[in-house]
Amino acid sequence: MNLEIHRSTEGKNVFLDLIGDLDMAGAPLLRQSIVHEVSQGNNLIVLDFAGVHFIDSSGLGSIIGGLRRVRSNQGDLFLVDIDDELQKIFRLCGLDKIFKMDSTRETFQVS
Amino acid sequence: MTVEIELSIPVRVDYVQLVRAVVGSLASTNPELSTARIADLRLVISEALTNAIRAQEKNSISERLTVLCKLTDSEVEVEVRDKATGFDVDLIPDLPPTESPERLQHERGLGLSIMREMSDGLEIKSGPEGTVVHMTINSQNSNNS
Repeated sequence: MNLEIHRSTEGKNVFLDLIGDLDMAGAPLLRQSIVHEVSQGNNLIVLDFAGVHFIDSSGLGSIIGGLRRVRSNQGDLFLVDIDDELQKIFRLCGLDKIFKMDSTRETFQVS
Repeated sequence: MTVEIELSIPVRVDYVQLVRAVVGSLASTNPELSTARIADLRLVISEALTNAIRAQEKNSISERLTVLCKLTDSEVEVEVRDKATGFDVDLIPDLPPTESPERLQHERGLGLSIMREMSDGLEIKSGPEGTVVHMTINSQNSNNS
């Protein structure tokens, strides 16, 4: 399915729930969303991958660009709930060494 | 059992997902292909099609792309053909190492390495008349699963 992004906030964290395929068609939407958040001063972004079951190099590129943008604004980007198949691709590309990943978004929620 | 399909698709990003679905569905009719191998197939064809679309868009070429898929008991062969102006595989620069801060400056450049790693055979023929990317996915022996 085409990518959808559902936004929520908790404290200073912005959660972007990604739903659908993160490919050449979906990557621009994610890129625009992160650019928008950074422009609003929201530099702590959590991408929730629970609804993503396909990613390719275009999708990975949009996340790399997102990380660059938030870090250049003294922020950070976190990835949560990535399934095993997708984690394999992150490892293959060495991106597991770049991104901060967690198994659950609860780590970033205010208790 | 051998099944072959040929798809002729417009140069549009929203067709990549459709091709993945069609090729994935065809591959799933072979009980010898694991779910992981079908995922590898969907990924490599997405990469090849993405490159083909970008190449034709860059050169404003609207001719349709061709995707061939041949399924046998032991493997799946896929081929993506474009009509762009071609490129030299040997001239594609390496990405900076992941440990380097410079790595974040590069949003592109992973597609070829993904195709190399996830397929069991990759052949690229490219010239001024276009590019043909041919890949093979074996039903067994995934290196990456």
